Amino acid sequence: MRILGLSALYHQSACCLLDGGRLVAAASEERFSRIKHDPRLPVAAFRYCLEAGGLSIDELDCIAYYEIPELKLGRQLWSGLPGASEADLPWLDPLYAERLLREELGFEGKILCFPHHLSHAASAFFYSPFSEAAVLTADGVGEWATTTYGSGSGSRLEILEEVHFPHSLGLFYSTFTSYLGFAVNDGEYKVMGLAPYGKPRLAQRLTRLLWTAPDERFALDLRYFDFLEGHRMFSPALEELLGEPPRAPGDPMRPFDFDLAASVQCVLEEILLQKIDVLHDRVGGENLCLAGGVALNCVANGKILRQGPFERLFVQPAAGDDGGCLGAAALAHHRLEGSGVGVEPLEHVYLGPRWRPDEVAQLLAATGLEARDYRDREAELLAVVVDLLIDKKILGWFAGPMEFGPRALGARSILANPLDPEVRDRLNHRIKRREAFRPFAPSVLEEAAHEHFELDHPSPFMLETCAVRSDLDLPGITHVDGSARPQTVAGHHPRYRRLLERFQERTGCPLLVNTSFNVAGEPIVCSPADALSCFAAADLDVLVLEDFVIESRALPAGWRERILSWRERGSPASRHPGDGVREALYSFV
Amino acid sequence: MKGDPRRRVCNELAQLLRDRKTLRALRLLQRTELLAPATVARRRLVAGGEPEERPPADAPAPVRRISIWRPEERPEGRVFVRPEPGPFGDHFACRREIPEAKPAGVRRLCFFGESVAAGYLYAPHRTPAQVLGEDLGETWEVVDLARTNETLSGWVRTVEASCQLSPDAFVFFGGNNWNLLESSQVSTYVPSVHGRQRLAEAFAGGGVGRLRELAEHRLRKVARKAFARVAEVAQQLGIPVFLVVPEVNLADWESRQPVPWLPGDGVARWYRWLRRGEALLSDGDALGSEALAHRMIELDGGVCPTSHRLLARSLMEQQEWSRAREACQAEVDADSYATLCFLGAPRATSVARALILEAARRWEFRIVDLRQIFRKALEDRKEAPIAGRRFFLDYCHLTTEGTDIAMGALATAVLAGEGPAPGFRRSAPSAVVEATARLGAAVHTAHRWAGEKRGLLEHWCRQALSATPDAAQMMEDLAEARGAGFEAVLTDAQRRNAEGEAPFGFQHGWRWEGLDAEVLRALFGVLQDEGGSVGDRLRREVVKRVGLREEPTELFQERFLWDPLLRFYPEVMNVEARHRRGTLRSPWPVSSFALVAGEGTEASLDLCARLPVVVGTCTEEIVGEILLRIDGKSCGKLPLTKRWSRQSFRFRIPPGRRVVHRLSLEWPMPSRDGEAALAEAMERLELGIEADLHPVFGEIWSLRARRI
Repeated sequence: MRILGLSALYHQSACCLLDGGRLVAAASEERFSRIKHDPRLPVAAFRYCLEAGGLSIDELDCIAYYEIPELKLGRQLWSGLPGASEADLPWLDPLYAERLLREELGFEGKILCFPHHLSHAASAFFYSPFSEAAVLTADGVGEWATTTYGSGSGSRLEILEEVHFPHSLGLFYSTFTSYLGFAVNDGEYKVMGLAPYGKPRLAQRLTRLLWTAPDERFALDLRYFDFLEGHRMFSPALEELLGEPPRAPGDPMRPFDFDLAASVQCVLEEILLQKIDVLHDRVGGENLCLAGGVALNCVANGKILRQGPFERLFVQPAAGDDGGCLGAAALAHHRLEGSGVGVEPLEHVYLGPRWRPDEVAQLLAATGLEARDYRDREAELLAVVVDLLIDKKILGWFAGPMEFGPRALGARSILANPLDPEVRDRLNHRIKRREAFRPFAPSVLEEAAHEHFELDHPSPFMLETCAVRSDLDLPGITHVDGSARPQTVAGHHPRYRRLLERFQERTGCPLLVNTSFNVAGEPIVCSPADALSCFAAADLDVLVLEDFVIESRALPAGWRERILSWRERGSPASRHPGDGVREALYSFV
Repeated sequence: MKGDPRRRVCNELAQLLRDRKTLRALRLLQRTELLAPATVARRRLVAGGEPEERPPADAPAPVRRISIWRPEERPEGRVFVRPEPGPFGDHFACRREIPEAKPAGVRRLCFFGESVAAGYLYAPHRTPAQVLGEDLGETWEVVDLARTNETLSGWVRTVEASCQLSPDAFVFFGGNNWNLLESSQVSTYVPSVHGRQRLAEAFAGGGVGRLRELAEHRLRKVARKAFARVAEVAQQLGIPVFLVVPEVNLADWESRQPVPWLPGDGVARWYRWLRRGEALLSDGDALGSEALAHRMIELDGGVCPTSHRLLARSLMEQQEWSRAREACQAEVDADSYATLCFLGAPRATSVARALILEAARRWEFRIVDLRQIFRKALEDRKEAPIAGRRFFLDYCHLTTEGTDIAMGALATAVLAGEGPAPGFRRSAPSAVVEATARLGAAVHTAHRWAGEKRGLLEHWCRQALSATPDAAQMMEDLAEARGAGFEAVLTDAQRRNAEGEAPFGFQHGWRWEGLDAEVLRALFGVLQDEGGSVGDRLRREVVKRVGLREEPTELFQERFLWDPLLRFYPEVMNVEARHRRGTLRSPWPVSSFALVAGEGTEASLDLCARLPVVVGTCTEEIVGEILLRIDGKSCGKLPLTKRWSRQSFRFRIPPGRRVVHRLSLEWPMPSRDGEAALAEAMERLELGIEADLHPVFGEIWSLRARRI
């Protein structure tokens, strides 16, 4: 059975292909369109997934959609007219999504729709290594549910309890994301990164906003929130409660901001731990699966594992809406196949497009750039890359199939030497051009992880934090509270693993700084051309493009400036979905 | 919460809306404004939207930017400064700074307008404003505020802001854009539910012709308001306003549009007559083609520009200049709104001309009418009296000669009353600038003209080479950039281009990601004719970069589409607010793709396609055949059903030097009754769903070719 999972039309659209229970391909549309969090129908991702599976559209058995449109519409109607930018309410049509799949994608086969949070839950449980597990999902909102408590066993997944809109942990966190001057549905990471710099002195006050029962229930005090109106997240009452005005985007951080971030993080962790206790009391067992946007809070994830009642944790790496497609596909698989053939556990996320060496060679030839060619000479390539890293060079690393999900895990990464005391500042200021407080994560050889981190299990998807306990001085990857968010590297990306091994052989350090290959505000690179463009924008020292090495010092005069100027004025990344037709024209009238 | 009765009601309502009749009831409530807008407004008010603060009546006028020029305070006084242009230029004049104060003893003329006024394809090296400045002499300063893609509202804003420059005269040179940019709401593809409902109503009242009237009505309203405001500003300043009435390329341009659904088998007949008419014309039977053109116009009601074009070509062939001109203008007028199905070319319609002339009469603006001026110039040269490529690079943008004549006439008008007009002495553009503009004309024509255009492309390529032999290097760079398969900015060709005297930029389509197969063919042909080995070398390079390989090449990609205009308007434009389509639908009876391979190459083709589907009526029964052609020669047939089906086909590239081949899929004519199709489209529009008023001949999921 060939099933295409699809999530779209709200936040970050994506597709995956499940063939006989095996995940063949998965990708977010933003990587192709170069529009961050692109919510539109994932046409390019759809075509990519079918191509990766060697399928034509008539060979696809089913599209599994990640939510139930009419249920969502019910909630939207209940809310009034949220975000009604157009007076004529185009979204009042519950058949809109299905029509797009039929007419814009051209799909003729079966379409199955599954509830948003059931899709999240399925994306965690069915791809986990567990045959039985408790499942918790939490995000802003799906149809009505914002948090669900469930249990999974074999091919069965049951939602036991739900918390409904407007009471939402995701919206609670996003409200403070907005208060701190960051974009909702984008800047939540930043709040998490900011938290260790502050003290949770406001946590007690914030508990007034969030009532919690001893069972699964909790509720927001809606006097402090304004998202129901769709104009802004918080009300004047929140400003009054906090006693400090919201931070305007781009303003300097105040001590209050650090403390507020710490407090919000603290409140979130406490309520998650409490609800997970409740879930454990009800479901029992040793295994917990998490999904939904809140599950991307890796600090909370680490605490859940260390302080919570479960022994093992699986967080689906694309835990946000993009990953909903995985769950929808798995649910369709079980519905159509019965319990006979299960879904294979997710061992890696290298499920995106890749480029052949000859394609990269052809591209480089057209650029006229000076590139050293290491085709069929990987050992030499890795030796050169290690030399460059030891020499404190920061490099763009483009190797193999692209990752699915928000983390760069060695296929589309920016890599640096963690022993370099200045690496964090250089990366934040010069390369990524982002806030100085934000930490960087390490990749570490799986078998060496315990020597450097308080970590006794693999963490291949970089989704939990733990304490650093290394004999090495690792300023580049150690956050202000002494924690890190490691990716343990086994053998799923052989070249990346070999790079870490070579680096360890030369330096005694089995780690590298690994951050996503992009600059602020842009999706992670997808194609070699994206990588070249980002190479220029990020002012990287070196670009390793599959088997080719390009050093910035060998770039022709003016090349970088030309690319930068183009990126500012003419590239897809400089445009936005709302720009409309006139800006999409190259010049017509 | 779960017991909330309102929630139960909302869930039930959402369920009910799955039913088409319920949705229709809701949309009718919206259409009658019993639902939504008032509610939205009230909620916004309750939400605390604060009224905009207005300055007191006696407050000094605030300093504000003029177009993209932002005010800066300097010791020597206020200066308006524009941002640096990007590497490919932008839509505005290149002048970096405009001092607020005029130089002593100099009068200031503010020059507004659209791309034609901005010197499209020549800018920034030579623009109409520069030529006008030379013509007017040192006692005048021309401030170039023209911009590509200008709208009437944008013009008015810039006029208002330009008062800060103490102008002594206004010039507006525009009107070509109005058929595209002032009526874009008149489209079945607009996202607004209300907009679609209005269209459905209009259509019910008079078919496609009524939609055109709707567009014209809107244009009249917007244009009259704009002219009134400009008149008010000019009267306050006590300065004259000059309007340059644009002329358009009538002889050498074509607004080819597919015909909308016609009753019965009208579509099939219409295309049969078009094909026959074009064949007769090429065989020299202009009377025969004229007769067929009349029958097409009768059949389509005159709403399709293509019928008028066939008539115009037939009449020009017979040297019936007066009637030919009328037919040419009818073609332009039929193409008078943007987004019915297909992207037209911006050309001033009769309504646009009439509005400009009406404004001149009403507000005592002065007129420079390029139609009369160009006609006189052609008569002086004893040439056919319909303006064509002598004055135009494309549909409306002027050649050097066209610019010089137009600005000469304008300068004469401005200087009227200051004694006899001097004989103007102008600096000519450099040979490289001229070559860039001409080669740009070829590229731009390829992007904006559907149908047979090879002759015109070769003309502009030759003209580029005639300006300077250095154009061969430009052509080489263009071919290299097109063959790269990614953004031109990353290529080495761009490095050379950027270092040139007059680089290709945004306006020359340099950033285009398509292969531009037809431009490449024209380039190869012209370079071949010039002698030397460049043409052959480029052919080899293109085959190396994008030629067929053992791995399949997906010709479905935009890059290999023969002509960007082979798709529906919203799909051509890749409008970012709109969902992209996963399939390629053909609004034309033929879909063509570029296939790059040397002679004798054995290749296979895997096609997944279907005939247009009405959802719920799919059938696997064979309902037609696709005729395959390579470079116009029939090479096979494939069966087709209404469901997706896959077919394979083997072929050999024909002998010859040609390496860029045109692979065409000729679809069967639609079997649907046109009236039924239109009724269904109207029903969708009433529900707020976008709809096609034109037939879809076929739909492709993939078309993969590989070498075997």
